[in-house]
Amino acid sequence: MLKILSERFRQGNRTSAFPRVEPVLSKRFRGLPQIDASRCQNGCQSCADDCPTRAIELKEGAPVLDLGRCLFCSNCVCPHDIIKFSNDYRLAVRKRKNLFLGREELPLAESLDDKLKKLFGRSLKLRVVSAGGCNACEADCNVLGVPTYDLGRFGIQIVASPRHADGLLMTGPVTRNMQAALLDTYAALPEPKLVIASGACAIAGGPFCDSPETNSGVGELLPVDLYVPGCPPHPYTLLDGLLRLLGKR
Amino acid sequence: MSLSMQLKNNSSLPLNDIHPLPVEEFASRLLHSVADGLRVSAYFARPRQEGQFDLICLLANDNSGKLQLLQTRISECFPSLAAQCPQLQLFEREVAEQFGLQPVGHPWLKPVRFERNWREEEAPAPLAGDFSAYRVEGEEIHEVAVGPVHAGVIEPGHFRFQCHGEEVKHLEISLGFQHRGLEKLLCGGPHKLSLKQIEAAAGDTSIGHACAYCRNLETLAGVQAPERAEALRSLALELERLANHVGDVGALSGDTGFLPTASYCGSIRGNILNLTAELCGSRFGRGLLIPGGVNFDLNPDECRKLLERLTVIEHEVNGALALFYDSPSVLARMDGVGILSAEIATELGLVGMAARASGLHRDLRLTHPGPADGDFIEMVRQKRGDVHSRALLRRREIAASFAMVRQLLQKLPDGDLRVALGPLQPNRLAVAMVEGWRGELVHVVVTDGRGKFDRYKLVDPSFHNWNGLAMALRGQQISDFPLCNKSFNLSYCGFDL
Amino acid sequence: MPLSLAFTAVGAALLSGLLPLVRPGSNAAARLIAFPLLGISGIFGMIAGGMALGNTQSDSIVLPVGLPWLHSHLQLDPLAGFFLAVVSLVTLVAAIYGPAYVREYEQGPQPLLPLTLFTGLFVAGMQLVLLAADAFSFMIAWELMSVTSYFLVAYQHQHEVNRRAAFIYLLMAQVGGLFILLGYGVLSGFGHGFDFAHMAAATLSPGWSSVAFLLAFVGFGMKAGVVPLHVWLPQAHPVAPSHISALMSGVMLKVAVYGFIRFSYDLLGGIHWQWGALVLFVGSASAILGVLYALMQHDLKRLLAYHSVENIGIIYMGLGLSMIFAGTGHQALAALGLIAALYHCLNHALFKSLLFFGAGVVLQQSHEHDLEKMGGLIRRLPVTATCFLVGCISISALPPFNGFVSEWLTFQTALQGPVLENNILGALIPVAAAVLALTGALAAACFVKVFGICFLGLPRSEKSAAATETTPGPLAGQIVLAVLCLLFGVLPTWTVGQLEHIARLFFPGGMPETTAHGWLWLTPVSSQVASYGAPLVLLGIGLAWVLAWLWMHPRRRRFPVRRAPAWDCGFGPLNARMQYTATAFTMPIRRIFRPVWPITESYRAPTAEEQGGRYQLKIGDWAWLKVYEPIGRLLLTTARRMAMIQGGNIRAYLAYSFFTLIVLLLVVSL
Repeated sequence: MLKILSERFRQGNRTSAFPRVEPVLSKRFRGLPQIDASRCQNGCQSCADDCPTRAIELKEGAPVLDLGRCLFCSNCVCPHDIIKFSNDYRLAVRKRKNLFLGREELPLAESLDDKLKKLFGRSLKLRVVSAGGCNACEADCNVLGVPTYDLGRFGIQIVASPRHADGLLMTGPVTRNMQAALLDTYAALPEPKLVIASGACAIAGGPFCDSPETNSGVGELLPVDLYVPGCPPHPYTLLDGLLRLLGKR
Repeated sequence: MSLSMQLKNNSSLPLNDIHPLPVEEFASRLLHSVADGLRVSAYFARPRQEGQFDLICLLANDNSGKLQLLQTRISECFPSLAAQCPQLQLFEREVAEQFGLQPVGHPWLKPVRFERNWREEEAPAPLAGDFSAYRVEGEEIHEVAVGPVHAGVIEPGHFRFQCHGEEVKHLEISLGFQHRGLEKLLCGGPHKLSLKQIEAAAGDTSIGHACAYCRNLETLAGVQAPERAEALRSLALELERLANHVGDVGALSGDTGFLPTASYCGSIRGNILNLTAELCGSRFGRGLLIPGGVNFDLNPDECRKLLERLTVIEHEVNGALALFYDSPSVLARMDGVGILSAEIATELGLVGMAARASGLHRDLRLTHPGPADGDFIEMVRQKRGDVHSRALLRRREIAASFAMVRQLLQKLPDGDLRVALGPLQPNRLAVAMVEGWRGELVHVVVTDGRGKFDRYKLVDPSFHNWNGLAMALRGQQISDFPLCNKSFNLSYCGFDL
Repeated sequence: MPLSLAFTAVGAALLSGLLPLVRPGSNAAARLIAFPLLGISGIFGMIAGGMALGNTQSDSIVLPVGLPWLHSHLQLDPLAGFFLAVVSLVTLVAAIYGPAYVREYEQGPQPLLPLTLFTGLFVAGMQLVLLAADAFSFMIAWELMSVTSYFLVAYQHQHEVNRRAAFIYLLMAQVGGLFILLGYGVLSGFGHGFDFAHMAAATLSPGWSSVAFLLAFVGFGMKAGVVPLHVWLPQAHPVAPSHISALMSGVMLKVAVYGFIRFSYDLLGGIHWQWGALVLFVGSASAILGVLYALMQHDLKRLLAYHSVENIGIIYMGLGLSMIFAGTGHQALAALGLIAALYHCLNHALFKSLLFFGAGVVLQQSHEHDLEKMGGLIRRLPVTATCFLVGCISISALPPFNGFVSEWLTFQTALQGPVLENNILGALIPVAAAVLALTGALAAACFVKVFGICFLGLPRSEKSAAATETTPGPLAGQIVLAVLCLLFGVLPTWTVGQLEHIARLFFPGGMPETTAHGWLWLTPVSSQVASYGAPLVLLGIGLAWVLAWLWMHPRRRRFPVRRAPAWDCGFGPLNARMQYTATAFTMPIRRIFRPVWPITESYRAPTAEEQGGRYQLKIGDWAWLKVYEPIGRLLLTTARRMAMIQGGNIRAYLAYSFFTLIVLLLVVSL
């Protein structure tokens, strides 16, 4: 017993001060892309051509980047430095169309309406379903429970049964084999319920967007309330998105 | 002129040098090799013209460090060797499922991933979970069916237990829910997405799979990645191993209800992942490797800072683990539970950690070393094959990995980060095997006349090891299942591809 | 007056058996004549018994039938009256339940006539046992009861198993009868007369009275089913038709208890506390072993039979405590113990009959004997399920039903152990109380298993899936018993007041404290020690339900309820194998109490049809293996030895005759 107590003192308190204090991420972390379209050369399509998931389209001579398809691989960084990946980890949005990054700023997720905020604001139980995910999104979602991020202090908890859950957090490109189970899980949640799509696979199929064995993401299968891009999304990205959804940020 | 081909890890053969054997001789040579102590690393079919198929088997000889290649030509059916050689049973079922070929005499022909037949793209796809489970008869026997959606945050899979009260008589595991059609997507590659897809084959082994893929392409292009790049690759691989082992011990601790270590290891794993993120921006090492080398470098100052952080982390890990391995209540839960004997492990062809915990001598870093494995000496092994052995194995490997990372950070070889990759040689077969943190992962690629992938075969260590879990659970209490499952910690999506 | 009503009851029972003989071929006639007459017998018996219970004077008569020097004495005192009321009550309910139930047997190979004939004679026999006031009438009625029930057990004689069970039953009944006869022999020897009045007046030395007591204990114990004399119970009850099982388990065992009480308290007189210790020990052993064996059964009726062993054990515990207190001079506590035992007799008759009736309906509608093949019957047989649930709650001794009251009274008696001066005894009695507590908990576990596996979940066989609810007759029988279970649980003070009349027969002081606080409170020893307000408990339960309903009802409109399939982890169709089996449910208990049973586990290797192999578990009975089989083997070896006399050699036979002649001449000359 004494050993356990002394070790506890040695390990100390690990919980980060987020959201009071902004986290310090690695310098090489690829967060929100910043597109400086003014320096774009006419006719150059190199970013669109280099993007493996065809996430970049050129509209009116300027690249528009679909964050939902983006794998944050930085293949699109061209010699003119038009697209740069910043250190900003805040990426979550409410609507799919908000993920198309062009000239405007990314409209970060606003909170739920008053009625739902009253129900879920202080206690949100989530059921995580991996619909074909590669385990990276799942691991970085599971990690929210460790003392560093400590999801519980925000009133959010991951539960074992969909019957206990308020929301469905889905990852993975929705493989053909998992589609029925995903829909069954959604049906098993009691009303009212939320759906959160976390990761590039969940939003638009990720690296498997062209595979006939997947649905290329959640698509129209479920009504999604929060989109969290990334491959995988950094735990702070997901946490930031959840807190914004509940109006705590 | 030898009728079976020999090659080494990270090398290739021209296809013309491979002489197909008649089917009976293929079968007898395969069985002889296995009887001599070789093990099956890969076994797959490659479609040729007019409904013919090449059946290719790669056997690993851990003593000589060489790989033996056997090939035969079949059309609709082939003799099943699974009854004599249990290592082959899952591979044969996979061949049957992917191409509709018939393994004649297979004792247990069931779906593997519920994958659509590659030859019949328009046919309706099999329904996941639609299989007749193995049943133990008897009035007192009941079944417990779990999954695909499990209680924790984990990938989906289906487990069917035949139980008598609390005791499990038999466990059958049916996977395939994560199947994304990776092997089929790679055909005709390398495509723009291929590297990204390989990195996502098994998300917690991104670096391992990417390493094998990159080495295969380098072999096919006839180049070798610079020393510094290979050292950085090894560094990332060991960091991946560390992060996952520490996370596993934390999860084991959580499953036994010992919360101090569970909490500390959870946090510390994040710190180790952040070390990888310092290197390449991604906690899982995505975007680090590229065919030809690596994308990111560490200058001496950064190395020093990483070393400092590593020292702190090592200290914390040792403190957390000391509590766990000393606690009698934890040891009582793990000791003697989920035993997998060395005989069964050998028969099933287990690889990696699970095999070493049962006493098998299997670590590619020693037996089939890669370019940067020169300094690797000690293979960690345990004898008993129970949950405690697998947990202890992790502790010792964590210590070994810390030493290796420290050594690499202190003495990174000088040189470039990458070489340019030319076109891939046509009509060749290349093999790359990497000792990922779970075990041996094998990538075998065959190029066609234009230098594009004609067939890309991936074998994740979980492909071999899921059967080990099923056998380990026989005679155990069903409430020990989460603990046993966690002690193996196999990849669902690595199996499902 | 009560006696004449009792005679009417006996007569009606006899008629119900004999009258259908007039029309031997017709099943319908048998059914239509027998059961109503049985019902009439029941009604008259209840009235007679009730009246006798209230009388302070017992009603007796001497009939000029029987042996020349011994006329038949018949008597109805409060003790006999109480048991007569219980017997007749169950008979009445069986008569309501019976007609629709026995229709199934009309399709069988046997005619209905033997069933009705022997049922009537059986009931008459039981009633006559209760009325008998001399050893001869008692034994005649006892044999009538035993032999007719043998025919009832062997009713479906086409099955070998049934014949064997009936044979064992008859054998043990005869052996038991022999012991009882010997007991009466001892008493009549000292009393110089065969009627009870002479026997009660007899004075015996402590040695002889103990001998008589032991003989009666073994004899009546064999019929009542205490361990290790119980082995016929789990064999005979499952094979008899269910309403007969109810009669046998519910009332015939009580007639044995009556015999034992009559013998020890009335005829023997001075009770020694050592007898009480023996009875307490045997009762505790029966209770705990009965329930442990019951837990391991998955044949529904065999399980209920073992529970009868357990409940008889509880009754004997009450009697043992009573005897201990009587032997050490604590009259009021002895009365309490006796009342607790008698109350449990009544309760057990009610809820065991209810459970057997329910089991009968389940067996008949689902055609399955084995719990492992049932399931989901609550949707198919809702009324039966509810009544069965009432029976389960009662036998688990939970308020507000009746089982709670009698077990609580037994506990209260046991907890008074410290008043004894003998410290060893005073320390052992709380051990008995602990055993009783363990028994109660295990019984509850067992009935959770029974109800859960049988009625809840998914049907485990096609026959269970196709079961339908039964006709109103059997339903009415069950509902009546369920209501009575509730009534006797809610009005314990009135019941105890009635039972006190019996206690006053043997312990003149009675128990003034028990009912001293009015109809609401039951205070066995004194109100400071313990009290139970049954109507208040019922009121509390009812209030909780009403409040819950009031709180939830308006919310139903605001939050509409959505029905969805059970959560299956996203897998798909759940099948009936994916639920607990009865054996699996009790596995933890089996591991803890492992030495109690002889267990054989076997695993058959996979075959073509059974690709997973087959696993089987067999659980036997140690009493059978360790007691009866050795006795059987001993008898056989002895018989074989003695058979050597019959050598077939004619010269030896001539020699036998010669030597016998010489011996006789010697004897005569002496």
